[in-house]
Amino acid sequence: MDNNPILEVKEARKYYPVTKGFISRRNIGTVKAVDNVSFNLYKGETLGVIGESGCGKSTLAKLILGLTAPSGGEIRLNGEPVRPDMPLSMRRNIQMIFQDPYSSLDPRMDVRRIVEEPLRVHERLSKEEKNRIVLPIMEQVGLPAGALHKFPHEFSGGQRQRIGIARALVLNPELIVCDEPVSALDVSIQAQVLNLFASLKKIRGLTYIFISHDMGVIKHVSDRIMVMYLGQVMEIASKRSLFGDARHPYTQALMSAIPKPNPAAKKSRIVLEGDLPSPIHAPAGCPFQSRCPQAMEKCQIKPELKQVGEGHYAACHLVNEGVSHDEIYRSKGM
Amino acid sequence: MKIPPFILFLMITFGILATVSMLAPVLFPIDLSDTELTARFKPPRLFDPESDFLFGTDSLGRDVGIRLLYATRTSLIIAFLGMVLATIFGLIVGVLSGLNGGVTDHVLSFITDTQLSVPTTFIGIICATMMGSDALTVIIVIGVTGWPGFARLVRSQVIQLKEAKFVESSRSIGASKTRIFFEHILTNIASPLIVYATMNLSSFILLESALSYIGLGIQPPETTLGVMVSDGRNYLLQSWWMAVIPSVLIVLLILQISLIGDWLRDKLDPKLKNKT
Amino acid sequence: MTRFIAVRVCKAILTVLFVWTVVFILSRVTGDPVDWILSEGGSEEAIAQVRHNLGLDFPLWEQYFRAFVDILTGNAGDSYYYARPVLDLFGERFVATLGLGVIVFLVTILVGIPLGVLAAVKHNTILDRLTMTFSIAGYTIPNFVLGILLIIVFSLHLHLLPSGSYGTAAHYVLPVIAMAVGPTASVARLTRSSMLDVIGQDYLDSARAKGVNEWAVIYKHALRNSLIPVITILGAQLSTIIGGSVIVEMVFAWPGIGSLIVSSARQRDFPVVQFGVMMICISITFINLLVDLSYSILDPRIRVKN
Repeated sequence: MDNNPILEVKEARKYYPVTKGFISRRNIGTVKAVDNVSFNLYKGETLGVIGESGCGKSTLAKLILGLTAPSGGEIRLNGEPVRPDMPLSMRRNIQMIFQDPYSSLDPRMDVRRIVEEPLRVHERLSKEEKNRIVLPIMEQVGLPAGALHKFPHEFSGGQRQRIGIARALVLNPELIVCDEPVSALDVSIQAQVLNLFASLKKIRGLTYIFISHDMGVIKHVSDRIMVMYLGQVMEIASKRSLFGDARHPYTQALMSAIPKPNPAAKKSRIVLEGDLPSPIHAPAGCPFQSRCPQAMEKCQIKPELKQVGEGHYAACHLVNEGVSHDEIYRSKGM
Repeated sequence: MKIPPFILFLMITFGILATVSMLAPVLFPIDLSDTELTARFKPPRLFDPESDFLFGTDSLGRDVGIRLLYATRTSLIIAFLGMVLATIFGLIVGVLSGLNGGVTDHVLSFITDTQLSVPTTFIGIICATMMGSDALTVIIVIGVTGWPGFARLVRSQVIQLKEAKFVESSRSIGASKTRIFFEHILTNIASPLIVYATMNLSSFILLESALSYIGLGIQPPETTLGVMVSDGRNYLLQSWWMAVIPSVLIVLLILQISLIGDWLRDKLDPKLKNKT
Repeated sequence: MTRFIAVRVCKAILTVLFVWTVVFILSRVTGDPVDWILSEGGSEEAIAQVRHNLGLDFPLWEQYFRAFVDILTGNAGDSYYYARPVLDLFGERFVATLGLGVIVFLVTILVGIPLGVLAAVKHNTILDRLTMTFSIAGYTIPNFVLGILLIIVFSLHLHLLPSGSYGTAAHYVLPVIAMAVGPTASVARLTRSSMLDVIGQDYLDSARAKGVNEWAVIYKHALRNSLIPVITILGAQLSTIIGGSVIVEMVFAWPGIGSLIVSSARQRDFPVVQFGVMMICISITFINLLVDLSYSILDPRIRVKN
């Protein structure tokens, strides 16, 4: 792992105003989809992002891809700012793989057109030049060359996901953001696709941001893991640190939900009570307090991300005073 | 694509009918204003085996069969051209409405809905009063009455497609809005649009016939199926075939096209079932 | 709730204004009305006089509003052709068309809905098949074709019913059938499919197995819910019926508003056509408004959604 971050996210925010009324739009609240998220991504690593639905992971993906502009904060790819109006040359460096293999491919295009689309957008290449790029990639993702003239509906979910992966690889990006890429697949196929991700990473030197709600999958693929809740980072650590010593109550609850292969093992499942609070009226202070089994009075003040170990930070008042995560960033002059 | 035998039969019969009628000026070149007063009111061969005329003659002695072909030809051409007009206009409005949203959408949707609430015959009547009754007017009437349906369909398709994941993924690759529109949105609208156009073709034929019947469409000596029925209305007692035969043909055409259109819709886009 | 009503009413008013704008523009764009009257041409004074009589010497904006108000108040000028007040002409023929329209509408509801319900309840039986065939016939056979066929069979050959014009109850039969078949078939088809959705097949079969009492319950609840989409299209059916009346009145030489408008259109008798179209448009908009408001009472979901 390099020490140069290829992606820097600093205090990124994405707020959506909620308005009512047709003539006079009254602002009745704000959805803070991403609320003050900061982290660095280093070349060659896989950062797993985990959280429940509505925690902001998809919005974060959109911000990183420059599909939407941040309401605050900054995102930089190799030093250059990431924005919806960023140059095409930057866009080819980050690609995305989507969750639903059934809707992420245009049903009216054959596989060749789908996979070649990034080439059509970014370059003008002859047929042979395109083939030179596309054919080896088809092999790498495990699809036969004959698949190129078929249509998406002729393939299974797992195969369609491979098509999506092929499309993402065609411009030879550095960074690939994977938004729940295996959630829609059968468990047996999931393993195959995850293995594909791993082998591609090795062959092509890729860096991944891997988003999922499934702790088991995240554990399998990630080097580092970031836990999100209602748009904020709850905990961020290396895989080993997180699984060895999760400090945030939310992370602990997520861990306890992973099915364990030994049925005789004691069930120490932490069941969270209550529902996710409405994102429009997020409570002041720690977003998790309404469901936290260890909530205190103090939690009405928002806890900062504090260091609890090497590269391990958690945002919870239960954590001993340590250096704040954000302070480290600010001190590095970024 | 597997076509059930009945639909195939319909397609073939319609194809033959359409082709032969299109070729009428070549196969049976006549002057439509010719009259043959000695041969008036001759019955069809079915009822008078000695009749020279397969379908009889009308009040001016003209061969009903041959006029039928010319009439079908004109009816089909007008309905088709009107459909093209409606499709183009509906496509433009629907795309503008769906892509832009906001005020544009509100205004255009309002116009679309308003137009839908005016009976089509009245639009025809107004246009005929103002612009005179001829082929062009009828085509315009069909275009004007037909476009709201298309616009609605296109609009809802565009709105759905805008949010489709594959559109988002194209955007993430960096595709421009224009490229996305032509490569993704248009290609995905094409098939429901074609189905809808086919299904509506029959109602356009109907509209033309109705307008011509009341005298506000094509004027003699040009003839369409509606004109022929109108001619025959006054002679129902002595030569009922004048009115009945073109009527049967109208029903036949509408039936064929409707059934083919229904099948096409079920085959290609079952979701459209609720929009008709 | 009042907000909902206000929005609907505003939309209705805007609709009428919109149609009027289109009619007005078309009328001014496609030719000078003076030409229609003084077809042989005339002296400068004559033309000016006619213009003044028709109110054409006002600026265009004023004409727009004046004419609109005139129509609303019934002051629609004189027919070019008949040289009589337009309003009188319509007044004479109004009842004939109204009678026809009302009866057709009643038939559509009273025959179409029960037919649809029966077809749904007796799904896949002969009755159902017949109803579906009937409904195909309904949209395939144009009303004027049907009218002519009816005349041929029942008037000319069987001498059972009169073939045209107006007078006794017997005169109503054929025109009503010709006009009602289309809308009735549509309503029946929609009622049927709506009922089927609400009832669900399994429910029906188990109800049959249990006995008649269950059916009464099904009828009460299922019917109420399945009628909602049907009422939605009643407004559209009304448009169809009114549009159809124009054609059918011509077939049967019915002395109604429809045939007046058509023959006036043929003669390019503009004031008559203008008044007729506007009046009908206003009526349809008004009725649609009533239908809209009434079914929002039936289905509270619609109220809340808006």
